[in-house]
Amino acid sequence: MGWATMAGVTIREAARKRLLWTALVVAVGFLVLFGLALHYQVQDFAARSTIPFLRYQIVSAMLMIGLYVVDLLAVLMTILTSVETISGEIASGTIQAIAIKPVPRWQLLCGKWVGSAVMVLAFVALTFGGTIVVAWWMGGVVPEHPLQGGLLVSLECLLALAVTFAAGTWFSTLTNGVLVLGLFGLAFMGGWLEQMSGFTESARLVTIGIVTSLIMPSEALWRRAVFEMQTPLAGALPFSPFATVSIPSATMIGYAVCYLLVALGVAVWHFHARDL
Amino acid sequence: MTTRTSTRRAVVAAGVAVAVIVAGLAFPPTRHLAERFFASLREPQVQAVNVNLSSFVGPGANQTLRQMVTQMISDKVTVTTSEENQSVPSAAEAGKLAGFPVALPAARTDAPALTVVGEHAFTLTVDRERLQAIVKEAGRPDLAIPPSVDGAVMHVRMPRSVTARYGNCPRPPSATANVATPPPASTEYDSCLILSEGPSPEVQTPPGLDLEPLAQIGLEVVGMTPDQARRFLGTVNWKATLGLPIPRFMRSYEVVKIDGADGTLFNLVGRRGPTYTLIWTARGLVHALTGYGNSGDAVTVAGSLR
Repeated sequence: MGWATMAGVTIREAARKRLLWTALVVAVGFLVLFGLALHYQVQDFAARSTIPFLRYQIVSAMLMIGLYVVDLLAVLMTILTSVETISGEIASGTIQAIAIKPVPRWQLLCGKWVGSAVMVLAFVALTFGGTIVVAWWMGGVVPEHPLQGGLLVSLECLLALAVTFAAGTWFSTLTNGVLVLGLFGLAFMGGWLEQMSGFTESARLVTIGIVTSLIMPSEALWRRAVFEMQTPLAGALPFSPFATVSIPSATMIGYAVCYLLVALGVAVWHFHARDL
Repeated sequence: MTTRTSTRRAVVAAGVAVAVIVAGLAFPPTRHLAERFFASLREPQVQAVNVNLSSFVGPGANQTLRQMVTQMISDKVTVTTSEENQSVPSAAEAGKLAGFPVALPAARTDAPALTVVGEHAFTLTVDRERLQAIVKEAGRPDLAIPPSVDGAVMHVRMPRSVTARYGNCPRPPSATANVATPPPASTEYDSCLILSEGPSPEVQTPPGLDLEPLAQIGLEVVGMTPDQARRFLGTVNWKATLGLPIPRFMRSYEVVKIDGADGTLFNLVGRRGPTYTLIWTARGLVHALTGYGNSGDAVTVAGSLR
């Protein structure tokens, strides 16, 4: 069970570096800000006697924006906190002290990945779940299928983690960060261009979106999560930024899972094959 | 194996893969397979055929209203009839084609451009869960949609109608044109007047399904208060909202009398759109009068229909 030991070591190492506490402070700060915004918005509704229907739509839209920020924050946190895990230890030579122990290299890498994944999933659970609880508490609004949404956002983070690990076995920390963030930005741009196709009615924008989602499926996972969580009426409003214009299918989700497994497999293979 | 060797191998493998894919796309069967794969990565567009209702939509009208009302009920829509519009030279010819006597405003002496808008019909498969979620969202949890309507088929038929365009009117709206072009000079379309008249759409709903509250919700979405929506639906059959150019960017709203019948005058605001839309029912037909000039003239023009 060398990988389990390595997972524990990775979590303890993150705690030692105050990474966990910093992430907790960020999460709480975000939830406080979101809660304050909702609180003042609900007060404004009462002062202006806004009709319940409009109130529901506005709070729902705020919730979706909040969840989108959670999604972006979680993916960025995943990349930034894991970018040094492999490449940093190779560059500093620390890995040599660990790799000579009777733990196979694949267990070493998988253990680090599992440790990082546990921390990322805890961050997603805290921020994603917290945002939903705050929206329900302050505005009485709950997304349609929160569990599916949460699982898809978690999958997106695990995907980013696997890609970061795979690139970390090849490149230096800085190059790894630039590469993975670049891929994430590409997917982000492709996703929004595809969303724009609902406004401009351009099939070619949809194609661009699909191609970028094949290169990096992170944004497609978020788009599916939105589709699952949004109310039918909000999805039907074509001017909404989260309108259901082009919905990633179950095949796309399957592709993303395969992508994750292949990225992790490549990381294991290359970490095993390379010189340390 | 050194890192440099493995990197080189990976780059070569990636390059070969890209080259194989690009070369493969040169052949039709491979391209067809690729297209199918691409299509499988997105949910199929559930509408069997797009319901093209653009010809029913006036300038400044909220195109999304009927789209929303349709999507409130279902995302399984099948078009059964979709006739082309026809330009006609005279009111008599228009009446003959449309199947009802066409009345034009005597207050306008210039010749209109007349169009007979084709008949459109479509069927919807009711999604009860969706409907229930929407009425709950709209603050009407008391409205219970009976389970028996789930999966039932609804038929909507929008009979032929006639549109008369007077004066210098803008071209039909489009999303990109609205963004790409500067707004017109404030008086450019002052002479423009568009009159639409036709029978109310026919809607066959399954027993137990009352769609009037949905029409009210749709009106609230485009900016009316619940009270305004209720009063508006008091002046016009709710089914007419499926075929009428319900305006957006409303400044104010008032109930007016046209030959003794109640009508609704919407005063509009918007840098590109018309200044008013007047909607009323007369002679068994639903009328919508949209103008870019003074809204104070609307009732006079409507009252002069002969």
